[in-house]
Amino acid sequence: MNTAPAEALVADVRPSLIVRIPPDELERLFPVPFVDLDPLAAAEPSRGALLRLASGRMVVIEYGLVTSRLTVSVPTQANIAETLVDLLREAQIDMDAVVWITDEIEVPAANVGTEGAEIHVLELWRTLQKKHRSASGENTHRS
Amino acid sequence: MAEGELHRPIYHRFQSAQENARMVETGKVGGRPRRNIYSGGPPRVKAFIGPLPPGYSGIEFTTDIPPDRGSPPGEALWSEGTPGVEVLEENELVAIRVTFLKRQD
Repeated sequence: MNTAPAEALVADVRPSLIVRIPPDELERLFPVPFVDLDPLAAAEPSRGALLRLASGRMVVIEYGLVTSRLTVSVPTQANIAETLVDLLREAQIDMDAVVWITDEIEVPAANVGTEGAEIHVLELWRTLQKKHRSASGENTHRS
Repeated sequence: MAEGELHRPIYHRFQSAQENARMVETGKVGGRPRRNIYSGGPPRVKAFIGPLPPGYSGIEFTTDIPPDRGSPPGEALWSEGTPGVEVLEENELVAIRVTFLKRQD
């Protein structure tokens, strides 16, 4: 993965996945330069990056320095499941770290393939469907 | 806190004492887009749902303006173009009028 310049993405994005990870894990999963967000651009002091994946798809990642929440947002015109598969090919996110996934995600049957990332995102989706209800009332802060 | 505010949703933001002062002075919470990350999307006010935890710098507030539908759990967004969201600079800066409940610098 690489970062892309801000002008490379002119579409809006949809929050699609939220994980809670410590800062060192963030650096390991996403070894790219992050930039500080404007204080009014987030609900907490945050850093972010626009990632261009090996597939050419892009995602916006935003990391909250207080809550340790990483939000992955997918461009509005992009297929969320396919984009997350591409992301997970490059960043092995621990499913236990995931606190929410959008209910807009649809994993097509064709994605039940043999590739690790495809299996991983399917497991992710199934796990998170179970978590989804409880996540609606989850505390946003570290305990 | 007024009696009617007991039944209104509570939100909070983690932010510096400077931002606290600016918002309390104006009576509004502002929001900007993430233009240094990507170029698209309208400005949005962003907050977490629930009270401000003790020990953190930030603000706690309530408002009659409903947040956008479909926000991630625990988060509230108010986007440019939705009812009650004031446009201070088109495509760059919006704000919602709020009642502040707590300020921790």
